[in-house]
Amino acid sequence: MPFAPVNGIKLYYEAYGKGRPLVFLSGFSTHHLTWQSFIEPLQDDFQLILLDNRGAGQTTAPASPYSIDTMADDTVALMDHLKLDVASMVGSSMGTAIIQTIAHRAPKRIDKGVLIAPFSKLPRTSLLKTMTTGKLLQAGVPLDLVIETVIPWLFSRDFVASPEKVSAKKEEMTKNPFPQSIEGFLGQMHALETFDSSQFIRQLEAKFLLIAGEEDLSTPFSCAQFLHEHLANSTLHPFSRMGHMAHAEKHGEVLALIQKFVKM
Amino acid sequence: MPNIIVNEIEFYYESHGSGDPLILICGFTNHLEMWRKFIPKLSASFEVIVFDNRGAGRTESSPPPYTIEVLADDVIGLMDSLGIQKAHMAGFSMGSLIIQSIGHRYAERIHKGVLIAPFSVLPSTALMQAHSVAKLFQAGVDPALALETMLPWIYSNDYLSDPKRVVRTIDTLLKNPYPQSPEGYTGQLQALSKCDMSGRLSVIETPLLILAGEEDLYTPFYEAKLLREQLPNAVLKGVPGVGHMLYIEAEDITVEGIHAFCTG
Repeated sequence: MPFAPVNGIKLYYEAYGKGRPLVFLSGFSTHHLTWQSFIEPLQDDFQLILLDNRGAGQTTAPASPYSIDTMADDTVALMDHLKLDVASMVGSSMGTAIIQTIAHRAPKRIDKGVLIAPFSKLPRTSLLKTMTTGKLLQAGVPLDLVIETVIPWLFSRDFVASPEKVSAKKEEMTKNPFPQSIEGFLGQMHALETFDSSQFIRQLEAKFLLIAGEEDLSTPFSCAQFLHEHLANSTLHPFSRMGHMAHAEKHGEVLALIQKFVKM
Repeated sequence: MPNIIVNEIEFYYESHGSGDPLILICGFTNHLEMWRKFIPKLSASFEVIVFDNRGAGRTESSPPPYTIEVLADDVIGLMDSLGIQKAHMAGFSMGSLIIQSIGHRYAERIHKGVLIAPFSVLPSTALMQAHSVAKLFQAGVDPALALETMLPWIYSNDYLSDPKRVVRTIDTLLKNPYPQSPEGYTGQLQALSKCDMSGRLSVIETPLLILAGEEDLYTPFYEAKLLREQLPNAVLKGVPGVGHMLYIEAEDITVEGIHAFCTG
């Protein structure tokens, strides 16, 4: 399985298909398997790059605080390693912070970005929720119970109202083949805490599609509206009765939006 | 201070001032100390009745389950015992559900009502959160940490942006002089989880003021808007930048809203 040596760490990635490069960036604590179901329908049209951010999945989790800048640089270094000059990018949650930062620090390397559940600065509510989740894990609270505290932050009220869906999601999350280390958790949390794109988003030249749930509790809809108001070139696609996980709960619709936007 | 037997339960209540009766109804797990700061301002114009719901504060707990109808019957029983035919009412969170039930079944007993951080059905996300907190306590998690998981659900970004205030808030919760019994928690939570007023709102003709925080994640603003749309005689005042704990975060707006609406 491929690893790229970047910025002093081993970065895990997978590549599929041929065509215009399309890079997928995962959210906090999650890894490339988030995007598993997007591979098959997209690999005939694009060269897909899936990667694990610093501190998650199979990529190294150094024991120091990370920044979104560093994770953006890791991604650009992977593009160098793969000899990709420019790519379109799809990210969710923290992944949207990485994409905004790449568009700021390396504007020639990105032409389009799909930002799912995006934010310019993580709300304090969401940050405190993440911090207490970390404390629960460090206190040795059973993982399935910690997951129960997290699910209602992420999924829609319709999803949470279904005991079958909740139980299947708990099972999937409990059996995560690449659980995050505590170093990775704390490092990524520091990156979330210190990220603030509000000073530079006006300057970004890439085209953005913003996909946001109107009932997102982790990054409320107002976060996407703020980005939409300040980005020079963005389209906002709201999902009604939807939370933080449109890419999971409305997979087919999000896939179609990505295809249409990136091919345009 | 007075205790009174209503529906075979010993209720704790207090009465302050004179004038038209105004009954303040607590939310899930709360007791009447939540209203303490409001009493001097409101008792200048009203006979203010504050009391502890069944299963909370200094009122007895009966064995679970409870229903919102039973909690509403308790209010009517308390009014009967005190010789009050008709009263204004203000209720927070679950208390707003009790007022809806009274408006529906005892229309002649309520003059005007103020619904604070209200909902017609508790969102599944909030219900799952309440269950998971109970499980954290049952699992023996440090109470300070279990309580900390609640804060980002109920307070706003502004409120939580001061770390010292977060510590103070947890400290106040830990020093609760009248902690709820496990059966009171279970009973009230069952009442919440089984109540759905959404199909009955159109027949509630009580004049109602809806006060809701626009950043509420626990019972999001969509619930307040639905109440405004469905209730025939309701006005909505949204408070920007405020979460579920409206009566704490926007104390003046809350007390002045109650005063102006019920004297107007």
